[in-house]
Amino acid sequence: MAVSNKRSITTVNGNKKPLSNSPKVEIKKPTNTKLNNIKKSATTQSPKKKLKRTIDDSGDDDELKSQLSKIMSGAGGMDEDFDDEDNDEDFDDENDNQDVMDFDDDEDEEEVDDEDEDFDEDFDEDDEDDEDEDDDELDEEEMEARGKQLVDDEVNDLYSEMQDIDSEDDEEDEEEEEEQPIAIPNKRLTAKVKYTGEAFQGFAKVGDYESDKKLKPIAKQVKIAQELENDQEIEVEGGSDLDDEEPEEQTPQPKTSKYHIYDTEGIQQKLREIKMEKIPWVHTLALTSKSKMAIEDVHDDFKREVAFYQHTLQTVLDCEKLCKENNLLVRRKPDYFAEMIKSDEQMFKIKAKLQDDKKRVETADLIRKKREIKKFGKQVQVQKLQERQKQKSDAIDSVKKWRKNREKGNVSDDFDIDLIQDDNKGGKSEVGSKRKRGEDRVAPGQKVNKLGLAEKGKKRQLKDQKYGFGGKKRYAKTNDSTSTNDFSSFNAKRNNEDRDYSRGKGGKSKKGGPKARVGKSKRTQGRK
Amino acid sequence: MKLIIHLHTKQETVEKKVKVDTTVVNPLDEKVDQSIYTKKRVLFTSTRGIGSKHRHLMTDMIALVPHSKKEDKIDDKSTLTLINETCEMKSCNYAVLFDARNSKDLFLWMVKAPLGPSIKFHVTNVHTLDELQMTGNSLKGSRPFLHFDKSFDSQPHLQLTKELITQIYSTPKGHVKSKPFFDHIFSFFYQDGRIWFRNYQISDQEFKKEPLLTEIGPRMILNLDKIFSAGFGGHVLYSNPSFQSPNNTRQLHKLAKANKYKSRVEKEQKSSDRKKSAFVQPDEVDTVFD
Repeated sequence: MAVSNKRSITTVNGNKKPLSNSPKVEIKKPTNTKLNNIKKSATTQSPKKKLKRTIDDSGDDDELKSQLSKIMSGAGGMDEDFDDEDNDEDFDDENDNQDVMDFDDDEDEEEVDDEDEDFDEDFDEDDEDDEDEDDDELDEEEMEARGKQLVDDEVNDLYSEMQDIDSEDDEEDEEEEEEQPIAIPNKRLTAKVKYTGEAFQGFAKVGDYESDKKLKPIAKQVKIAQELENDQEIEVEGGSDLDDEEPEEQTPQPKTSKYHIYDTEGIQQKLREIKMEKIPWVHTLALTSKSKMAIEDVHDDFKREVAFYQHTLQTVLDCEKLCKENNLLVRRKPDYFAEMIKSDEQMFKIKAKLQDDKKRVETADLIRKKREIKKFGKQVQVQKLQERQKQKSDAIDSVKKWRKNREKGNVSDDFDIDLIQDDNKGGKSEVGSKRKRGEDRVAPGQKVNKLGLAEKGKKRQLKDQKYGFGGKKRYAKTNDSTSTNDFSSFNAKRNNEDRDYSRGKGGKSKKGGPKARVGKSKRTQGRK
Repeated sequence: MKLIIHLHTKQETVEKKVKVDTTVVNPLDEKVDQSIYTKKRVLFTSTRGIGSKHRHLMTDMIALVPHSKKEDKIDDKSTLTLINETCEMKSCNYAVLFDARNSKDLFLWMVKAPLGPSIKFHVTNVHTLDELQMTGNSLKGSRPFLHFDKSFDSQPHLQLTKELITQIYSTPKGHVKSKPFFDHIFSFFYQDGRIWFRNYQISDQEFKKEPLLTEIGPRMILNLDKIFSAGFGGHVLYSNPSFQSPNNTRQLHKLAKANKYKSRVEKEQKSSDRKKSAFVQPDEVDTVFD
């Protein structure tokens, strides 16, 4: 019967209490909480078992009835019940402790309860099985008992209830359990219901008790609200002329109040107590600014600090003025040395850090510049090439000028550098400092073209004219519409099909075939 | 224009000097009155388990406040009222407690020692003197100017805070450890529902009339939590409605993270449901002619 120590206690309690205090059906009502489950199992299982045991011993219905009546009255009967009262008290203490506990812990407890519920449900199933067996046996007993008259009304009631229970199918029972609305587990409440009889004082049913308990927190809230209202009233009264100390005494504040307290009267009273009247400024050096601060966004560090700075600066100016008025030295003398708030070591560290920061900024700038240069490197290269080109052309121009001068008659064997330099005054670069690639191939006396390369000879020029130079070579000789229709080069005479090729090529055509060769004499005659 | 203004101010100062001379002389005659302001000591302590950063902040504060006295760390956080007694023993009339929680959160108590009020702040965004960002420096023991935002005068609880801060941080004139020059200013700003603390060095600028300010440090933001009537106790005079305990913020942060997963699962479920509902059963009519 006893699974664990705790369990045994609960069963016994369940046995005693429900029978003595309230009708069985009420208690049998299943709830979701762990303890209720245990209770139920206890009410259903254990008394019947005991009954059965007694019946087995005696086999007499009267004894059974007497047992039942004893149980109902709760007096004598079973000594076990009373022995366990001590245990009951222990449990009460535990519950009390739980009541004292903080609200924060309740959640955790509930979680644990949920887990326990599952566990207990398993147990319940087992219990129900047992119940079934018991019921079968009890059926027979009951049938026997039916025939006989029952003296005690309560016993009769119990019997009738048992009858009801037996008549119902087990399945229905289970269904009912499922259909029951899930009650919100309130551990503290159920625990009290379980272990102490006090909980039932003044309540006919457990349900009533529970509903009343649920109402209580609402009442508490109402109370707090009332207190809040009271506070507000006090605030309002603060404006009127009341004795200073009265409100403090009248409304003792609760120690752990979660709501807003603003006892203006009390604060002003305290202020009057501690304020030293007519204290000269020299002793406090405190100033309250006259201008209000206007910071757009307090969380914007820079703006906030600037506002703080400006505000403080104004006060500093005012303070210094006041100091002068009060004949106080403001600036320390340059030869006044004394201990500072921050040690020299610390100040060196700060200086080093400042320099380090400066350096870091500089290097960062340099790196950024380099990166930018890299980015525009190609553009720079193109620019450089163009510059070089310009230099070249300038050089050539200068040479031309020099040539012209020479043609005019200003003959000078050596290259006139002055002229070039005059030309280069327009251009930026100097010639002669660096010889360019093309210039290497130009012989000293050779003519130079626009590009600064050696000029072609006459022969070469003619050949180029004839055979072409440069340009596209492919399709240069293919026909197009004009060339195909062009018959200018066509000689009809030559291309005559009737032409006798045996007579040779062109020339005068002679009739009568080829001439016979004249004799030697005639040939020699003609020569002479 | 500037020149003209300058001239004006000069004239004013000259005029005022004549007036001031009389006012200055009077308190000097009544030397007894002066002692009220000069006799002032602030007890600086922390609770056990304070983090290194917060400890440094405390040492900085002690260095900046010449009229301070350092006390040992406090073992028992539950009996903070005992600090009142230590204050009495050390003849301090103010106390500043650095209350460390969870070794990462810092609460700052500013207390007028035995009778209150005491103000509890949550300290965030702490920067100490050891950091190299803030380049200013000042004499140790020079008396600071105190600057307050205008909004400190707007509400009673801020007025009280201002008053207490001035009393704690202003060094009395002629204090033994103080120096006769002014080269730094504590500024308190009330912005975004919190109090921002800055400490600037005042130095002369070449070729410019107005002085140059460079920050010395430390920096911190004080979030007002509660004002109590007595020293380290009493009933609550003010509780900040917008204040959220650091534990709570962390919890919310975690919850938000957890909800991220939850919402994702829900979304997936929703989308799958929608897809299922969007599926149209093939109609018999469609297949009549096939």
